[in-house]
Amino acid sequence: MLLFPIIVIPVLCFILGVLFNYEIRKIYARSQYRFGPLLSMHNELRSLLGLSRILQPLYDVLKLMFKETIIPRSARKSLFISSPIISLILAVLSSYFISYGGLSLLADNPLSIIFITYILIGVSLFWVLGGLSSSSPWSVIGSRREAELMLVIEVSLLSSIFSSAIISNSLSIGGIMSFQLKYYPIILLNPFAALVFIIAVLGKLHFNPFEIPEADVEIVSGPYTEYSGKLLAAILSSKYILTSVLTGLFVNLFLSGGLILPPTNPYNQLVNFIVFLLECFIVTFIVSIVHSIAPRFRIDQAVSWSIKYLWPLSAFSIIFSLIIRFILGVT
Amino acid sequence: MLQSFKRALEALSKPYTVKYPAGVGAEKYSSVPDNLRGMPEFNSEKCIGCSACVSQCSSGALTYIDAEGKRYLNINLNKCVFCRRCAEVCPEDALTLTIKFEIASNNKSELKVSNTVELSKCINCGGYFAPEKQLNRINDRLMGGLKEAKAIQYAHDDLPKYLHLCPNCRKTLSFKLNIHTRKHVLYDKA
Amino acid sequence: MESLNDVLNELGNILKPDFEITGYGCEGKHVRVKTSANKLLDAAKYMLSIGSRIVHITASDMGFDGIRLMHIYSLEHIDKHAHIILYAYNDGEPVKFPSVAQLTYQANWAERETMELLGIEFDGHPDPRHIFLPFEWPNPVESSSESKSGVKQVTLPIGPYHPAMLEGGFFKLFVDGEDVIDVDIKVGLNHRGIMKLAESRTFWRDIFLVGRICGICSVPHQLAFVNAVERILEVNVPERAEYIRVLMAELNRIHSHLLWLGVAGDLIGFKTLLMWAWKIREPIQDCIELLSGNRVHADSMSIGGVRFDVTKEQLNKVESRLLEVKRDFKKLAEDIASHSIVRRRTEGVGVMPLSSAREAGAVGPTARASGWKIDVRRDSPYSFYDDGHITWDVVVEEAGDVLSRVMVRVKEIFVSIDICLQCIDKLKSIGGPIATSEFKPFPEGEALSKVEAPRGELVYYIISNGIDIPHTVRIRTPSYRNIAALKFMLRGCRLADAPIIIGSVDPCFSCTDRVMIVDSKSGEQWTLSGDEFKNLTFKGWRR
Repeated sequence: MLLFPIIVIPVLCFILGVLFNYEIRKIYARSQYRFGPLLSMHNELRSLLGLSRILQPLYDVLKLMFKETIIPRSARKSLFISSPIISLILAVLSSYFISYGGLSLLADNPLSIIFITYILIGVSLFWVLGGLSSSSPWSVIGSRREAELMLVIEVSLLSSIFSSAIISNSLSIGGIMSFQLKYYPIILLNPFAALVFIIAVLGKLHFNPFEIPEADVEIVSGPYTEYSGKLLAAILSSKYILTSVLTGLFVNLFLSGGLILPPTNPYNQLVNFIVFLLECFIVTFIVSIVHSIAPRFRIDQAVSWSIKYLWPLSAFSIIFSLIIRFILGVT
Repeated sequence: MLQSFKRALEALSKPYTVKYPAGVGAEKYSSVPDNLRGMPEFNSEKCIGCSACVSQCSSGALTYIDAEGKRYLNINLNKCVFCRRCAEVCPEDALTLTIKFEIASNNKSELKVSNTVELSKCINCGGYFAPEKQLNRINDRLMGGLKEAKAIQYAHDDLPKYLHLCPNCRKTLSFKLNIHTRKHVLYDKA
Repeated sequence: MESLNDVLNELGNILKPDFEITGYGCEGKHVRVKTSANKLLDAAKYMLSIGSRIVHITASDMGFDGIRLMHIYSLEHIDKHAHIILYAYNDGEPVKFPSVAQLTYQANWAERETMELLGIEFDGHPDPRHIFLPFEWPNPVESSSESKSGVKQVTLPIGPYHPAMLEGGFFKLFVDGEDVIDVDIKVGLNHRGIMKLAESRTFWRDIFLVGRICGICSVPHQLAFVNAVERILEVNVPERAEYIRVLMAELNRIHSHLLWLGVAGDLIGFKTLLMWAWKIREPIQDCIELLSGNRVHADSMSIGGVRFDVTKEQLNKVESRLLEVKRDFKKLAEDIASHSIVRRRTEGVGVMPLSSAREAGAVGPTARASGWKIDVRRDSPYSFYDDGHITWDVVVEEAGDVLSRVMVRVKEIFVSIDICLQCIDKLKSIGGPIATSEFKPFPEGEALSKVEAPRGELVYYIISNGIDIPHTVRIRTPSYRNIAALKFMLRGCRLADAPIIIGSVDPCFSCTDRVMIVDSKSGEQWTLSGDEFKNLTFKGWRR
């Protein structure tokens, strides 16, 4: 019986990641006066291209599975091959801790916040290690930039997650969600933490203005330059899963995870799930618009901007949560 | 940055690209101006095969081959730069650049535009030397320019025979007989 | 300020007895002066001291007389159109001339090109390496990681294949972490031998050949070529044809600057700006297609006029589209100029002060952004850019960084739209032929013509010897000068700024050929010698 969620949840997470990635591409394209992958193909090309291109990100990953995996001779082979695989495993592990509108495996674990923060750091860390082991000057520069970016972004991510945990006096995602069901969504109580979380999501997923490690105009592809074939498919899949995990985490921590009705009967659970999806789509919409209208920072500008504005805001959001908790009288 | 945000939100519902090759907006795309320099096309009735276009082609895409009593004019679309010099110099307006621009093809034979004209034989030596239509056209133009009745009477019979002598025969015969070839044609009513 | 005659007299005093004025061009303003090879350096010193610019240095093989080396100096700050073409013959095996590059950097690349194409040797050239062929020619190419100081370095090649480069360029950046220490530039990847091709085709076919040197700046190349031939032939172009020429040239400038704006946005990571700017550019492409029949190669020039006429209907459509572009672009320019991250990426980056700009010999918007007010349309007016016909302004900015270069081009778009609207007004009212009806056989002669391409000053020098095939065609494109000037801008910048600085001079590699930047870091484990690199490339890939 336990086997069912163990298999279904990562698959669900991956499919959601594909859909969110599609939405990001679609909104990005639409904001630039073009169409993007078509949701419903026009009649003349239906026979060639199918009914809809909504699964385009999935096709991108599947295409890579059929391509040749090239391993550079001077790369450290063990680390080169294992890094994408470990980051994919860690991403899959982190997907167990999210509650998908009520459906979850480990979200009710009393320490799920701590687990998920560690695992999320691990995913980015193995991308960096993969880049360093590639023996290409582009990967080295990309990994260096990713490591610098991680230093400033992880602090903000942690502080916003803990702001939400402080207000609800619980270190488990299930507990935070039931707090929000009882009182108010935390985005209304502490909007600063939500803002910091959104910016941190931009940094972790390499969206503008933090597209620095993957800047294709300067350093070809950053840490992923030398990857191809199945290993690149592993990296892309871990990216999709990470998108879905981070969006789901935001909705869980700040928007009460879609829990607007108590999950007592299947009808309520279905409503919760649909609300969860809607909220995820709204969050992805915001991320995509910001990705479209901002150019890339330079790495030193990103660090100095974060230290000047983002870290004080993160510190302030923690203090603010303490004040809110005191006012609300949560024990 | 706020104005960029507003512009991005406005743009969400107004895509500027059109679906190609068919679908919404394709009509807008396929309305190209009339003077688009697209695929060249021969008008077989008007072309007289004078090959003035061949001498003016910028890139050497237009060539001609004389073989077996016919002149084959070919345009190799791989080399054509669509500059329109051939259409400019054609005396009969027989070569036009149409508005057809979707000429990509898997088949090399589709990338050749050609025209064939018949060559005429020299009445003395029997060799092919010039297109029949070109000689007829010269005939019409010259006759159209004559005004005196006597000239018209003389020219009407002799001119076709004179025109149907190839340049070599014209030279050799006028040297041999030491008279102008046209007089030769007048005397030798054969 | 002296006048052209004073300069000539002084030059005569310095160079005597090897001073002979052999001909005039362009109503007496282009003066051809013959001198001897060993006096060239003195002449260069004098000309540079009175503030003249070296426009180009080129050479041509004149048969029995030997190889003629020409220095073209510009005296436009004294008198409009004034140029002195100083030349000297020399013969021998190999031909030797003194080098002017030891006095100023402007002549550096021009002399390297002449060395490459004609086998001349310049004594005293500070950097006599190949410019189109590989540096190691005729030895095999090795990817050497030794720098000039002998320290082991990590090479970061930007090019020949790189997502930042739309065309082939090889930039070798010597970096230390994220700071660029030095730069080495290599061009020549796109060399197609156009000058040699042009010398074996008739003048009429050459018009179409030079229009295809570059897809973006196709009109200025044809215009410069046709102007030079018309100066040799001494024919006058009718009024209506001149206005049509100005209209086509300015439409080309608008589309080129809008294209560049999009590319610059892409280089700082703002792909959305690329789409927005190119959306505004579409009506301009429609206008060019409406008038000439093709969106890219307008092919509108012919010797003595233009090839097609424009009707009132077409002019009305073009006018309405231009007004639409003006309105839309105003809004976009305001949005971008106030965008905080764009300003952060471009302000204070890649600064080239005025003195460096003069030393490096930058031209076009790159020079105007540093405060140097040079523009061919004002200094040597061609077509109808002079005051009697069209009124317009030269756009100059002071700061010399990437943001100034962006603003110069943005303002130039508005100036160009204004010029186009004036031309359309004039074309609606004046009639006349669109090409000259004089027919002459080609005389012997030579001519210099300059045109302001979107990237700067484009120079053509044509020598004709009486048949319908030119004897010499020499082209100097503006990107040639601007890419050489990149050396001054890239020192001391950061690695992340390198693409936008390279992009801000609007390099058109089709017009130029590659650039190489070498990046190096000291003492790390990624030192790749030539053999190791070959091993990696050929044997290192496993499944």
